[in-house]
Amino acid sequence: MSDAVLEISALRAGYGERAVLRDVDLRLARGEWLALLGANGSGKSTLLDVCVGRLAPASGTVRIGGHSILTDAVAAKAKLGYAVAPERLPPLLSARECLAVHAAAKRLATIDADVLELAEALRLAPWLDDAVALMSYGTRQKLGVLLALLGQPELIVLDETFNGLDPASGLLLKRHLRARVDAGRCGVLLATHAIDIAEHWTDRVSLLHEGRLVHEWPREELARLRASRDGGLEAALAERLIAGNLPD
Amino acid sequence: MRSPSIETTPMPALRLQARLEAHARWRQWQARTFLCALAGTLVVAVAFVLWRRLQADGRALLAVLEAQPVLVAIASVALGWNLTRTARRRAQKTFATSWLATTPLDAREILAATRRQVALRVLPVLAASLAVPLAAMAASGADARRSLALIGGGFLVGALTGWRSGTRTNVSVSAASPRLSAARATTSNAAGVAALARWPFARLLADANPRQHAQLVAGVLLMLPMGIPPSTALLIVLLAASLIAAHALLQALLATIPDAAGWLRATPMPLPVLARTLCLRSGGALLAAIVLATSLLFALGASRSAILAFGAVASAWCVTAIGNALASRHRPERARGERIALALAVLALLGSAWWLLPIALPMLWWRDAWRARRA
Repeated sequence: MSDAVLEISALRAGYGERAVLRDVDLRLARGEWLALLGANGSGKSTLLDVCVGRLAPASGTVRIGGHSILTDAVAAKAKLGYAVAPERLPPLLSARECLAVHAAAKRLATIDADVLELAEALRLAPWLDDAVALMSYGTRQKLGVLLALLGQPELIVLDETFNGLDPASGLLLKRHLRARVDAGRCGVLLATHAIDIAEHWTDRVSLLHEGRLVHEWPREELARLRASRDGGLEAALAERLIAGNLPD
Repeated sequence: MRSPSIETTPMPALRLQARLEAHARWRQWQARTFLCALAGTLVVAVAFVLWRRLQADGRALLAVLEAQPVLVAIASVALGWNLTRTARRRAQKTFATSWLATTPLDAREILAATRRQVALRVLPVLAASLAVPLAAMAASGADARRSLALIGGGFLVGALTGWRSGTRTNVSVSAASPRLSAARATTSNAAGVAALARWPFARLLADANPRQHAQLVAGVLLMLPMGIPPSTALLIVLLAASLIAAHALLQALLATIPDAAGWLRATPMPLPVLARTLCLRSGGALLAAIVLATSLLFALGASRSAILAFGAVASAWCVTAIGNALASRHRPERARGERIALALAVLALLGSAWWLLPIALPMLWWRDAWRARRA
């Protein structure tokens, strides 16, 4: 049986006539953290939207835990945890109500204990009864991640989730995710511009350029870049993007 | 003291803050709802007095001033309280959100400025409240001292209590553990379902504009012809209020559906479950408002066909709007099929199920029997 939590093949997607993603193939295994890098407008968020079923692809397949997000959406989404963007959280509900609604949507009897412990560790507990609209951006980011972690998802999808987090909370969250991944409980797909996170916390880094995955830094190469003293992943990325060292 | 949670939080959406503030007031201050109901009752009582006296000598204001001193005093207190309190809160909020909020202004200066602003808003109203009855009583030769004392004294008492009431204290945000343990004890499924069901009502209260609604009802009152029986007037006002409530709730539900659908799209919650959870309670309230409106139409003597047509059209309108909002915003890749199914359901509703008949027919039968007995 395959241990892939996310399988994308020959994916094409866009908005109306405008194609954003072209022939994307991607595979993410359980126990693996993949970072998706790319310039603004390269298609990272579009790829994540397709993965979580918010955007229907023009062609290709997306499978989460072996279930197609198109034809078997409910089963696929039962294995998915998606960090809702802060601006998409319901402003009139409290954090507690948001957690309860997501838990009900995932048919959980109770809110996971480790999620509540993480909420306490992230100092979110004092805000649990406040309306989302009264929370700061970073607090809403924390809430979005907690929603993604509910229900022991096999695939966790994060879109710029570490933006706005204070350093202590960011470190805590990275350690929590790393522990989940190392325990083989899930795979994590993170779209980010934070090179340091991609370089030091993930297992694999893929570069998306103009809607196509044009390069990948596997675990061994990342280890080599981390050890190098000439700029590491940042220099390698700049070499690819600025020097135009990309395939046509 | 200003609310730290609202006024010092760096939120750009000031309008949303105001709505949330209003929502919080609605939720937390249920006593105000009672006061509103009391004020409404008083208004109705005054209206009855007015009509009766108008039929006698046509001088409504004098009739109220002379015959209902207690009502005059209560109204004066309420006016002074509400005006002062609203003006003070508005002045404080204006300062809290202005560019001066971060400057090291002395607290006494802020207080003095707030007092000046409140006085500028309150004093003209007080002057008008005193001048109008004074003029009316002077013209009629009546003794104005008692009425002026009632109005002035009541207004002063109300203003003083209004200045001090509704101030908020700092809320401690350090108590983490009790809240967390409460969250852990929550059964999430029931709580989540309840939270979803409450969302349209929360939106309704957050979007509510009581002043606009009061103006609408006042407009309906003003359009009523003189000499109309008070019971008929009351029915018409109730009809207007029920329609306004139904419209506001429908708008809130339609605004909530895309938000909820977008937020929950990445979860395995199917459309029927979302629709049922989100719409059942608010749909029931909508249905109740429509049934109330049809009952009022019936009591006002509308024809059977008009009542049935109103009920059918109103309910079909609600079902279509809600269904379309659900189908177009949740699972857009399957929206076409769901829309077709919805259209068929609405057609079936309109074509065959005159669902109002079980409600309307007994009422019609009762009305006919009552008329026959009277005849």
